[in-house]
Amino acid sequence: MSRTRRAAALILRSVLGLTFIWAGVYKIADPQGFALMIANYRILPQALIAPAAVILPWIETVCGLALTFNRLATGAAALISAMLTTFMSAMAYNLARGLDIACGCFSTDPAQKADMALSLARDAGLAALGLIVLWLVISDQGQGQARQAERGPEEPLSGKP
Amino acid sequence: MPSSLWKSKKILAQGLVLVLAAAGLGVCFNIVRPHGLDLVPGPGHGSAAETGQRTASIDLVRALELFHSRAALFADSRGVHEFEDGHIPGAISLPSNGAGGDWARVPKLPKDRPVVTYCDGLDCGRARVLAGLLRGLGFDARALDQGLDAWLAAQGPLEASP
Repeated sequence: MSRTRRAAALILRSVLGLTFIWAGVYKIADPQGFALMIANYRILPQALIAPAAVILPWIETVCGLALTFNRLATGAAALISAMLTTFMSAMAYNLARGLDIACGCFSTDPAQKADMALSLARDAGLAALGLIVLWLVISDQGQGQARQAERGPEEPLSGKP
Repeated sequence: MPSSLWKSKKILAQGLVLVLAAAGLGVCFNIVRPHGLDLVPGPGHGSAAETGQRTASIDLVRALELFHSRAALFADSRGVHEFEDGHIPGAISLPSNGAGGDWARVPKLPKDRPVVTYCDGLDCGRARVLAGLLRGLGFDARALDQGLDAWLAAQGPLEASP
């Protein structure tokens, strides 16, 4: 992997990771508010709202940390892409049925403007970033394996160029 | 291709580790933090049939009893302006769109006092959403059948915000 490409991977990974840490921590701070936001989407059954409000922000934060520190980064990038796809589907579904509510994406402040279309566009951008990062992380690891294979199986794992 | 299969297995495994770690952290943190959410609706509220019901409601007669005995807290799920124009005396404002009102007070409310939610009338979707949400937070909350329409028809009192 060329130096520019590695730098790009590092920057994009960190940007996406920090974005998700930011989004997650906001919601961890206010579980009641976030539960209300989820209820506003009117998609999840009642029994799943509290568990989702408790666990989802932690998935975002843990994935953000994993991407930022490049640990389990492939899984984190895949999960983030999957989450963004899910969020976009939920927003698109609500937009289609005329339910324009506050997104609850980066803030649990309910006084925030209802902006489904804008949030949807932003999440589409993030999802694109997520897929690029996923591809970069996978190909980075693939090349690492290829290098290792060239050197033979006895080569110690720590022997990075 | 075996290597791509191996890769997707690895991605799945990593994703699973991350999800499990996050779920563990989230649940533990929710237990130790003050005012965490009730993940399983408490068995202490109502009968098994009532807790199992997704849209628990309360009829007007019972609601009036609870109002006069001051046993229940009333929560208005309409918008803040509608609340200001007129609401059940003593009710708090919990607009179901989450915009303003008394939402900040919710964590401090006593959970042993039943909550009656209400909205306009006929199609009281907002009151049911609010009741469901409050039940998720551990309250014994029910939506008033037919909402304010029925309340006014029974000459239940209203007050406006000063």
